[in-house]
Amino acid sequence: KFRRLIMAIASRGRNETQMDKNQTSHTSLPTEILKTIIEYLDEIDRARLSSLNQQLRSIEKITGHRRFSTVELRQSYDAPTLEVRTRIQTHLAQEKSKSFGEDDTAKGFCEFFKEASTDVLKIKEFIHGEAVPQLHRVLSALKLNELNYGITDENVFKQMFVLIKTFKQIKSVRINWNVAYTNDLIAKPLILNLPPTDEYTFISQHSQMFIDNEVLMHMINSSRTITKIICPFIGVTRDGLERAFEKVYRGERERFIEFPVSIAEHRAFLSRAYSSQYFERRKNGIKHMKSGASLSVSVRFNGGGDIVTIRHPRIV
Amino acid sequence: MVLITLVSSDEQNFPVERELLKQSGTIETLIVNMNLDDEDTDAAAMPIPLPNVKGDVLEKVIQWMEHHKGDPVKEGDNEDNNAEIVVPQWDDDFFKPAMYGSKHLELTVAASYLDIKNLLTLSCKAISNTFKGKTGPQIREEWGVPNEFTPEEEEAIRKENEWSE
Repeated sequence: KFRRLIMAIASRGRNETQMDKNQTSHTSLPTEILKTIIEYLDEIDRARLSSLNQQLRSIEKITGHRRFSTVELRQSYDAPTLEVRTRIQTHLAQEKSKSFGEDDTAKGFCEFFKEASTDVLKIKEFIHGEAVPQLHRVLSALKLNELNYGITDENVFKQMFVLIKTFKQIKSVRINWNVAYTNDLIAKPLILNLPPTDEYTFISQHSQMFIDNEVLMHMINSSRTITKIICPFIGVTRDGLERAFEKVYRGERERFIEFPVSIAEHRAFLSRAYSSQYFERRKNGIKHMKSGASLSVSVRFNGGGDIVTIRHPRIV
Repeated sequence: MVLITLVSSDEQNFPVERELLKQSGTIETLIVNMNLDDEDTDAAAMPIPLPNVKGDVLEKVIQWMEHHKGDPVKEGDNEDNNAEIVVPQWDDDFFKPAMYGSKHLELTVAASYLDIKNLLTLSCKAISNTFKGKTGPQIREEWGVPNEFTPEEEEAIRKENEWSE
């Protein structure tokens, strides 16, 4: 009786875990095992596999766990279709475009990105419509290193803010500031609320004077290692330069900071620093003697302010 | 040393060290629930039948468990992000001789049935490694996949996957 009981327990799951005895091919493997094998394949091999027959095609579709180097989302104001461009880095970068239409935006998107991971997530346009909460749920489950967000207005910034807060493993945030006419009174509080992450890069084609000393220091304090501001001019003064440099030479952490500054402001900063006993004069800047932190200025000939680079000696 | 006897579907007996069996979720659950490792009861002498695993496959599984004795046993679902899993050289050599035949597939199914997570992970990864960079027809041949698509369907799928060519 006891043996029969053990036999009954040991036989559990027999149907789900047994191969078809008449077949020895991979396609006769149980679905769960096929899904695991498919998870380990990259997108290119998965595409090839799914084109072999209907069974593999349907299993591949529900497997999830896709891996990309870049995922780029676009959605225009006048079309509900969400366009996804994915890139896989092999010996050549290979791109795949996929559109999720009006009816299946959320469902199709959720299925495609289930348990996916990517190095970079680029959001180029405003994502709108009823599917947004669902899309955000999927996006926030993505494993990714870098979020690259195109900001067109305050609402989009708030979307980005929510995503940064949700992502647990995010290392780097690139903000592409594409706002046509920046209202400094709105923009400044937004940036002052940025949550901490490893790296922040702010990019704009236009001068952004709302990035003053206070905003610069917030960005530096919010980024653990790298802070970069790439645009023609910002509103940082000599005082901002002093505070940013002090943050690096007084800190223990490896840091790299880069931002544009006007000639008048960096000259005012350097002339004061040159007379200090704590700094050593260098060809294009200064070095803090005790910590080894350096500040250098490079001239930008094609317009815009000169570029100030501050680095902690331990930064690679 | 406590030995527990496993009986394969073709009635072969395999006395196995109790410690090794901790790698198998299925057997471990059975041993714990049925008090099979309690030496004071009759249950200890009771062999464990494995009606889903043939003798030659069970032998391979035991060989694998012996090599991996003492390795940490994975708990719960596999949450590793698959790309980083590397099949160690010993396991690669262990899987290789049977890789293109049904034996390796049977070993994988046995790992799933016996719930030996590390063996299942490495075995599936080893199978997926054999398909990397291969063309559709090559995979079709190795996987023994019949072509069920009509020429029109095939053309539509080819277009959809053009980027991966």
